[in-house]
Amino acid sequence: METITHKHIDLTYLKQLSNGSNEFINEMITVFMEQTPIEISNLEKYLEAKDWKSLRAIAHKMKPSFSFMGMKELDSLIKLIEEYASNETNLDQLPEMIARTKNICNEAIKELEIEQKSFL
Amino acid sequence: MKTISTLSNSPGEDGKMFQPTLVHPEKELRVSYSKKGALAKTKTGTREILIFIVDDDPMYTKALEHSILDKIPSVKIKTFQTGEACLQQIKQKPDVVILDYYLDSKVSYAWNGLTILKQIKKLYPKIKVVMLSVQDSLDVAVKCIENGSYDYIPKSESAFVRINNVLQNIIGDINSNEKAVKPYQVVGIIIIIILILSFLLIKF
Repeated sequence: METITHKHIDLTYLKQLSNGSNEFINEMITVFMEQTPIEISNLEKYLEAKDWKSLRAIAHKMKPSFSFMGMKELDSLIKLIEEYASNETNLDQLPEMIARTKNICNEAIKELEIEQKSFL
Repeated sequence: MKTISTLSNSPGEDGKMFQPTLVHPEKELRVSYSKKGALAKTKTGTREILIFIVDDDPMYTKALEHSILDKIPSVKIKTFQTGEACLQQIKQKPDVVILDYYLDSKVSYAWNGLTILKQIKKLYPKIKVVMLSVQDSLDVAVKCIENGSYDYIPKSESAFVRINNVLQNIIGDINSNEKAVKPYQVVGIIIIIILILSFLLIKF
């Protein structure tokens, strides 16, 4: 099968984890595509409400999802978001960081839609 | 035996009260059977091991479930998104509970893993609890171990390998304990021998 190189995602780890189960990869992609927009909108909601504790909790939970999808840039970005929200430092940078997270996720979801077709 | 209702009046580690109606357990409970189907006994004659996974991250739960069933196909797994839902089913006495430390991303007032760990150990001290956290913190690890956790595993890329190794160890211990001759069995055998000897002495 031809491997497509994407800008944001890298499914090497997920494929390794799947041990050859396309069904598993497909399910993981589906959960990511369903779950991530909800989490992003929660990040925006808590940013707007300046609820740093809840924002930290959401950022914390999103980390493994980005690792599964091999999204290295977001992996480090979400760690910084969590750290800033947790320590309540550099809060002025959070809106831009969350907007960037949203953009990358949207692009990643498009890449996953293409990738998912090969696992159906 | 303490029941779940005894938990309802005690606040959690972080002062949060027990929320039995947080999520209806049947709505969030998912059961995965082994690839060979739900068997009461495995091929080797040992009993089926029941594992609870408690994590509010559906992707991590799914991946972990897949990884365990791939490596240890004879186990039965039930998953929960909150610790409270897990406690409502704890009377099923799982052999192992794999419990995430942070459980408040979906429900802000949900108890954290440490509180759930304490409640499980209070109700059923023999259940092995393996704690997970994205955070690789020594403080958190020490707190968990002090409160009876069997192990503390950070959610790194090697986490699944470590979890499967820990599960293999636990299952090995359970199986060898069950195969070992129990004290009451020894007493029983001695009584039978005495009875046979007495019978022979009386008769001859």
